[in-house]
Amino acid sequence: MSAELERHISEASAWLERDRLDRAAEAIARGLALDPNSVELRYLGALLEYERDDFSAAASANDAVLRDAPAHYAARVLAARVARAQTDLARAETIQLELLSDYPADENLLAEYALTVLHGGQFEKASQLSAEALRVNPSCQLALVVLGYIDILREKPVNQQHALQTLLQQNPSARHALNLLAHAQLGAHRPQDAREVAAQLVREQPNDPATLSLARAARLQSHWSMLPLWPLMRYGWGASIALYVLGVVVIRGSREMLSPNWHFALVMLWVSYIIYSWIWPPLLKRWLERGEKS
Amino acid sequence: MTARELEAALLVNPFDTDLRLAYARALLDSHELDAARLQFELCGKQSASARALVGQALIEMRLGANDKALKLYRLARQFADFSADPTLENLNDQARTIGPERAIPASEATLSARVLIERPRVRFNDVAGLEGLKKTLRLQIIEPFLKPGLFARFKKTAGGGVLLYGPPGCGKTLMARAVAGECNAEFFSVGVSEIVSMWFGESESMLAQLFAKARAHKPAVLFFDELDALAFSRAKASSEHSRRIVNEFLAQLDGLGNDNAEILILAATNMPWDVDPAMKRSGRFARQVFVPPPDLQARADMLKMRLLDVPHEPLDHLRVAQELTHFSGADIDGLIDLAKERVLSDILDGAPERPISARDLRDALSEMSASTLDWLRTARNLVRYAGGDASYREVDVYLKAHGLA
Repeated sequence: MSAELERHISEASAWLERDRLDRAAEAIARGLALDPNSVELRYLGALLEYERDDFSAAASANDAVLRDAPAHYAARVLAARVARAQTDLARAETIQLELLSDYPADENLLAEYALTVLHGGQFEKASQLSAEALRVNPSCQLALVVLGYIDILREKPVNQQHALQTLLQQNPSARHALNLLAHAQLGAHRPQDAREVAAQLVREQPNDPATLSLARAARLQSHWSMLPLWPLMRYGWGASIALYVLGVVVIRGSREMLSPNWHFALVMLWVSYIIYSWIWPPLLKRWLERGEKS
Repeated sequence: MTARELEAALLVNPFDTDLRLAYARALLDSHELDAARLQFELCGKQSASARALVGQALIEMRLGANDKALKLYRLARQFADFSADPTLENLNDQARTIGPERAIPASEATLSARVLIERPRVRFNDVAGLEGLKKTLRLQIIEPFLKPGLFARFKKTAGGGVLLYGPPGCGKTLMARAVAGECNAEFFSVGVSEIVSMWFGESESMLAQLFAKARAHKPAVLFFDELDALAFSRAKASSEHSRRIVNEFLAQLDGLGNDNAEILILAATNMPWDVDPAMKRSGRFARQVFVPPPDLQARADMLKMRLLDVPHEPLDHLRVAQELTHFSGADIDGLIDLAKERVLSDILDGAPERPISARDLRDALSEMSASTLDWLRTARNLVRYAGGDASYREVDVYLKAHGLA
């Protein structure tokens, strides 16, 4: 491999790492002009398409790489990621099992497999695979993230989310740890805390849609006008049903006890609260999102 | 632990990659090369890593297969856990001097090729508009540089770092050149994209050389365009290479063992959020200056300048500029190009020759929008959702003034 070609590979990798996809594409094109068959550059081309979220282009470019270099580790890992992104979980699993038979003690592969399994809703298996990855390397970040998401999905209290705690202890400013923390805080109905963490994430990546969506959710839930709706946010449908039943019972029971004027006021208050809970959150959401699509 | 003890431990836990690597290293140290190679290969099979490849490269080197060793070593660089091996780095350096095809220049000649050194003639008067920004830069940067005695009496020193940030195409680089011109200092402009693509170790050495050269040419202005690429946030970086560049940059900014007095360090970025937070601390790029899209008067002046030698009807430049809110200098160039194309197309279609009219500009305007809007939307996200960060106060003021907050 010529030094010039290696330099193009190095440059393309550097731009991909920095998420400067157009610059990476230029470096890849310059390299491919020198050697159109370069496996490394073609792999980086596939990775570029993956980063651009063009999964079908990524799959076709990566398949071509694997036809020429079937043992290419990074291309095989990418093939599984692309399949997972295309929700072809069976294919992702097949590739990952093949990889694991070649590299049985690779903690990152175990964690990647756990993530695929988690996408398929198999919490228990994902949990076991992550535990195995952590046995190989106790600080495997992806395995901890997978376990963290499983804890959130299982609605574990924040103080019992050990994976999250480990992530925060190991790297308290890492994006994946903070992202998980914000989700956990939202899940634990601590929107003010989630809002602060989300703000930190936005400062680092203000154009990331997922981060913005998280920040928006935290801001919505922590808005002062949502305070009266706290029981409904905290307990969901259960609280709505309880509110309805309680309202009917109280209104019926108080008919004899209160004067007609007071009784009417009570009914109006109840109805207003229901309408408020129904109409206000979407209105507030639209107001908070004002101008974002302009 | 000795090789035998490690071997015994491996019998109990055969999938412990760290243990196997230690065993392979022990075998290598005791010159059992074939056995060591087998162990490194097994490590690679268990878990793909740079350490196993570096181990294999060391064995090949000892066996005299230097080409193979270098190939493995270069492959190892692609992994996130790569850390440089001094012996193999030496071999790589030797290969550079032997084979021109493999040469990876890292010399003074490379520095000159990648760094533009000049004494710019651009002055603030050559930059249209942005009077407020010029005033800030004059007070905070230029006057302390030109009158160090006066500022020293007020305990203010010259030099230090200033980060210019804002949407692309709004004159950050021109402003930096104008600052150097006003300071009448040597201007070192660094092509960042080439530095980030250098080999492990080379980028750091290049940075050190650059600062050394600037110190030898005091007073000097060092300018780093696209600082976000060079000083990419270490929290986001996945490679050791990127982290080491930032570490070296920080050491040079702090002037460890050196004196950075009379060196003004300017940088520009479109993505300040990607710059490592340590860069923005006191003594480094503590002053961050927002370079907004040109204001109304600046846009009118740009239109006037750009149309100076081009046939055009008399125009009310201010009125046209009013329709170009948020347009950058580059956008205005694009707009005038489009208008020119329209006129030329009409002439080539047989219409009589005519100058550019206000209508041509308006028609061109209907085909394009300000390229700064994407950046401004991102900045709005910062202000809206990452509140409390004082670094973006000037952006907040701009967004509010233009009804974008």
